[in-house]
Amino acid sequence: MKIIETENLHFGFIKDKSVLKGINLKIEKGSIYGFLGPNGAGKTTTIRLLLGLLTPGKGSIKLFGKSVTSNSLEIFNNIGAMIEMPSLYEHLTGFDNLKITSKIKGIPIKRIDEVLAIVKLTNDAKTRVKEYSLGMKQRLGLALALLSEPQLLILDEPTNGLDPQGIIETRELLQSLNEEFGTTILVSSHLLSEIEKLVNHLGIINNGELIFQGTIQELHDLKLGNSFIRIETNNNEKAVAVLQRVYTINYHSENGFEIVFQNREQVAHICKTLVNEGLEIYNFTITSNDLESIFLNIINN
Amino acid sequence: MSKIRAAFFAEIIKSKNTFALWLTFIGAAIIPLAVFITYAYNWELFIPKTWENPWREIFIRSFNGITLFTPLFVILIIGLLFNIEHKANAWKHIFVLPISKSSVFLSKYLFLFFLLCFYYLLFVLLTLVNGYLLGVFKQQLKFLMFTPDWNEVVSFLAKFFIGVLAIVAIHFWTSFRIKNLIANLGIGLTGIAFAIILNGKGGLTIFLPYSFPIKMLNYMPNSANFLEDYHIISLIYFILFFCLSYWDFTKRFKG
Repeated sequence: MKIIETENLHFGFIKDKSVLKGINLKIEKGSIYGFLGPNGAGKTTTIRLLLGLLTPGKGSIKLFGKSVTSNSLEIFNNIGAMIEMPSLYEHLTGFDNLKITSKIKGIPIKRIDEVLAIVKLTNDAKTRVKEYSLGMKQRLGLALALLSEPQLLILDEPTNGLDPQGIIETRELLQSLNEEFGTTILVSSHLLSEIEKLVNHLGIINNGELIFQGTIQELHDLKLGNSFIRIETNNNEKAVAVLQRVYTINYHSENGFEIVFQNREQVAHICKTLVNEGLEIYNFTITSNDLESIFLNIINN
Repeated sequence: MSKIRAAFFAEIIKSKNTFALWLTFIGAAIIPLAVFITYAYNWELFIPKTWENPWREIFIRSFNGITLFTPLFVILIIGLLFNIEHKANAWKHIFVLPISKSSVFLSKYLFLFFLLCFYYLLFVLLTLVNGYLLGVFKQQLKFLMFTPDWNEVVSFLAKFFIGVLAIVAIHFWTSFRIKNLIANLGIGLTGIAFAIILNGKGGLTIFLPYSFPIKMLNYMPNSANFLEDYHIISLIYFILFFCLSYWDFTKRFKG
C-alpha cells in the first residue's frame, strides 16, 4: 500500500514559472524514504504541498489513499511533521510546547514525558526553549512530530544543525521507530551521506523534477555502472587487447589503462584473465564512484 | 466545539510569559492608578457637594482615560497575540494539526475577547478599589456613603465594547496578514492620530473606526437610544471585517 502518492504534481509561486514539474512520488507503507536534492530543488515545496500548506497548480496528492484537500483533518491525525526549522514558542518551556500540541491532538499528558525521554530532553523539559541549543530545538521538533505516535513522519532536513553524535542518534531513533512501530518516514536532505545509512528508498529531485526514484540497491546498481579499475601491467598493450574483447576500456596510456566493470564477478574475471595470459600486475585499483558522486552526477546531468 | 475549546486552552498556554498577558494587567491598571494619584494629591478638588455621588465623577474620569487608552491597547494586544505565531513560525505547524482553520480562527477571537473582558473587568474592579481606598483615607470624599451607579457602569462598558469592535476586527485581519508588529502599530497609530485631530467629531468621523471610542468621552447615558449611530456602524464594520478575515484565513491564508 502506498502511504504517499502524488501524480503529475505541478506548482509555481509565480504564474508560468514552475517550481515543481510533474512530481510522481510513490512511498510504500513501512519504508524510510529519503527525499534528496540540492538547496532550492523543490523538496520543501513538495513537502508543503503534501501537508496541504500549499495548493498544487496541477496534479493530485494522496496520503493514506485519501486526497489531502478533502480529508485533511482525518489524515493529519496520523501524521507527524517537521518542516525546515521546528516551530517552537521560545518563550515557553519544552514541556509547554509539547502541551500545546497535545491539547489540540487530545493526547494524554503522560505521553509528553515519553517523547521527551525518547529525544533525551527530560532534564531540560522545564527550561525555556530560547535557552536551548540548535540541536536541542531540532530534537524538540522531533518530539512534537512523535507526540501522536504517527503512522507517517514527514521530516524536512531533521539533522540541520545537529552535531555528528546528534545525527547518529536521530538516525537510530528513526530506524527504531520504523522497525518497532512500522512508521513510514519521509526524510528530506541535501546531503546523501547524511541519510544513505538510514533510508531504504530514495527520490532525487533537481530543478523541480524527480530524476531518480527507487531503492538504495537500485542506486547502488547505478553506482557499479560507473565504476572502473585502474590497471598497470608489464605489457599494457597486450592486456588491453585481451580485455577489450569483453570490456569497455575507458582510458589507455603507457602507464596503464582503465576498464569499466559492472559487478564483483567481473572484477574477479578481469584479474584471472590477466594472470592466465601470463601478465604481471603492478597496479590493480578499483575506483568506484561513491553514492555522493553518483548523486552529483545525476543532478548535474 | 471540543477542538475550539482545546485550541482556546492552547492559546492560554501560549500567552504564558508574554508581554501580551502583562499588557492586559498593566493596561487595566494604568488608568485607575493615574486617577488614584490625581485624587490622592488633589483630594480637596474632588470633595463632592452635598448629596452628590462621588462615584460618578471618579468613573467618568476613569472612563475618559480608558476611552483614550483602549484603542492603542487593542491594537497592541492583537498584534502581540499574532506575533507569538509569526515569531515562532508556527503556522506551518498549526495548519498540519488535526484542527480546522475555522477552529483556529474562532479560538483566537475567543481568547482575544477573553482578554478584553478581563481587561474591562479588572479596570472596573480597580476603579472600585480606588474609590473605597480613597473613601477610607479621605472620608470627606464620601465614597463610603454612596454606591456606584451600576446601570451606568454596565451601559458604558457594553457600549464601549461595541464601539471598539470595529478596531478589533480590522486589526485582527491586519495582524495575521502583516507579520510586522511595528507596521500594524503604525496603521493603528495613524488611525488614532486622525481620530484625535478630528476630536472624534463631525464630518466623516462617523465612518472612522478609530474615532468611535473617542466619541464616548465624558459619557452621558442616552435615555432615548441605547446605541448611537456610530455603535451601529462599528457593529457593521465588525461583521464585515470578521467575515472577510474569516474567509481570508480559512481559504487563502497559508502562514
